[in-house]
Amino acid sequence: MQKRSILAAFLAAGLATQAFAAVTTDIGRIKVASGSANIVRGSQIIAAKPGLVLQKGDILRTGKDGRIGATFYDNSRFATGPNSSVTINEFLFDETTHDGKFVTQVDRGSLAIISGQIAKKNKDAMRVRTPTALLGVRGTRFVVEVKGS
Amino acid sequence: MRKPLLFAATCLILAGCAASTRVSLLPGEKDDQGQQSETGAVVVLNQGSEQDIRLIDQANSRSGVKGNRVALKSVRPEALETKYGGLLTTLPPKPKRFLLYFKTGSAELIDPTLVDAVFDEIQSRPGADIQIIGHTDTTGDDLLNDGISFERAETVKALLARRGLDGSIARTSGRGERELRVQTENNVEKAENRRVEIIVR
Repeated sequence: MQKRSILAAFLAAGLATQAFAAVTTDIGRIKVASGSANIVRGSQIIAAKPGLVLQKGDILRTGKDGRIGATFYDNSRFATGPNSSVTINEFLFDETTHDGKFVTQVDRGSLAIISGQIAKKNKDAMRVRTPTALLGVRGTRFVVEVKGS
Repeated sequence: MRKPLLFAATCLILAGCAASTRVSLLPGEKDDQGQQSETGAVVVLNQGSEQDIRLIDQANSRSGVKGNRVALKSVRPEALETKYGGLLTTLPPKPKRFLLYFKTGSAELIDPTLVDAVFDEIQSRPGADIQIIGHTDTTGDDLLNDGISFERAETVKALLARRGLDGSIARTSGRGERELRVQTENNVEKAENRRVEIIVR
């Protein structure tokens, strides 16, 4: 009886893992939003609010009084300032090994980053692109600002 | 008369040739004990070859970056905190980690009341999400330990749900004995390894 329940739990664990792997498009959540702050997802525009789940490909877009704060599943944290457009191009994270890839594009405005486990595990696995620069992140707290594009 | 127009038109076509990028490196964040963690680094890479151009590792510095050109200057320690104050306060709080311990070979918590502190932390964070990861010590085989570790994670989730947690913000997994907190030989009972790790974001 006990053996069977353990086996069931194991199977459930296996299934849960598989299910998670299949729907792992979720990459983090919005924690802070104020002013004009939206998420652009394909043709959809979604008002940013705390708890909203982020997906790969999402664009964080703010107006002149807007701000968005988000935390990702590798514990990286972002803050976008006003008049910003920031695209999450790639986010891959293995919660077991902490290997991954995190590529963000800042087209305009400002982005503060505190990097998480992806940057900690592999040098330059976290990258930030702007219209004039390509940056590799090696575990840090910094601000990228793009002007005049 | 014609040249500026042509230049402006080229700029529009190339989209971004008038843009500039500034990278400001701040000292590492303060940890839970108020200690400043070390400053990290950002490396400027060639946009095509992705080769290193320049390492920016000086805290309280601001660098203008345009392609391969990097102009770094030092700034006063408070200057960046002041200039980017609004942006930095928009950063969400640092994720918080909890460890809860279990009786040997079971998914029964040693002190179930410790779940309250986890629940309070979740409640204090707008838009919170949590990750619950179960672990075992090295007694028992992998099949058994994978099952027990997952059950431990699910037990914590159930206790949080009883307090009113929205289950959709929690993700659970069992890691068996793959990630020991204290390294031991195989088949060693170790209280520190029989645990669930909870990350509240």
